[in-house]
Amino acid sequence: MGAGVHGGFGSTFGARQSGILVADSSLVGNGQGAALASYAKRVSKEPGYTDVAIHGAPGYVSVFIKTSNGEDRIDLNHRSLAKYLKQDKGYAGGKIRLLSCKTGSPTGTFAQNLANKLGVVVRAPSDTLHIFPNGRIVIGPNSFTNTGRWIDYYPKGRKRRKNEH
Amino acid sequence: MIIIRKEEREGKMNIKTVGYFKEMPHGNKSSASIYDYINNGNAGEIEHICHYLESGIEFIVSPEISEDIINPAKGTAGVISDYTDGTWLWPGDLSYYVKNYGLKIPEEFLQTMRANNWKVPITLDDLDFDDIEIDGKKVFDE
Repeated sequence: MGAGVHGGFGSTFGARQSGILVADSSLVGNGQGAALASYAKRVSKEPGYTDVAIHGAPGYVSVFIKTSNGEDRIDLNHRSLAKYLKQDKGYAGGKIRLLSCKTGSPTGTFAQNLANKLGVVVRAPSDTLHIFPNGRIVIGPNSFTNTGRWIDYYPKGRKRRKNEH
Repeated sequence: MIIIRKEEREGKMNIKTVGYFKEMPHGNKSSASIYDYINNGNAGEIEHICHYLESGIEFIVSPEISEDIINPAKGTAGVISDYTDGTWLWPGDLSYYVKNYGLKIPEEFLQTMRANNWKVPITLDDLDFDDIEIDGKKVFDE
């Protein structure tokens, strides 16, 4: 379990659809960056992949939740996210594309660990992801520098393949 | 004779970037240093400024978490999505530095906020994506 206050998904987020996307899974929260949920719907779908939209970093993903005292950030490791996805009706199994920043960074481990845990291919961005209102995606250090790429991570024991997009 | 500017003739909206300091991972490397702007805040207007920055239109969404670049031990500074009021574009973590480090906002941007009575005057629907330029560069050229 990553840092944060969440103790597991079984009786909270899990066992139900996130309610935000029909065919995909989104775990955005209602705090900062909540627009990610609606913007994720505008991104062109990748055949065979389920999009998972969540705020991220090379080693973890996070959800921002409004509270009476402001806002809490809940960090999740790959095990917590895998548990959530297995219980989410928006995910029927198969390949995953993470709409989540830097989770595919070669210096991180999140996408590889998630692929190992779920036993499926996980496609993730090598750098920061920027989603424009028309669904266009830029992968790079800022919105105007498209220097990154998608990387496919295969479950442990299989070869990793890089995809240029 | 009335001269119609090119931007007006073609209905372009040119939005200017502000607050992308060079130390930020999502900053502009040719921009100023954030250290030249902190502890020099606009006293008396900080609450108004932060409210304005936080109520901007989330225009370009980025699912990345921004850490405090001045004191990383403090943790999260926000998300790095780009926000706009139709005139300016700023990063989502800018208000954090105004609130926590007394970051000074450029006077030209402040004038816009005051003229708007501290309320962002547009919604996402008011933005015509086909005609938006950011710092003179077309956003959607595909």
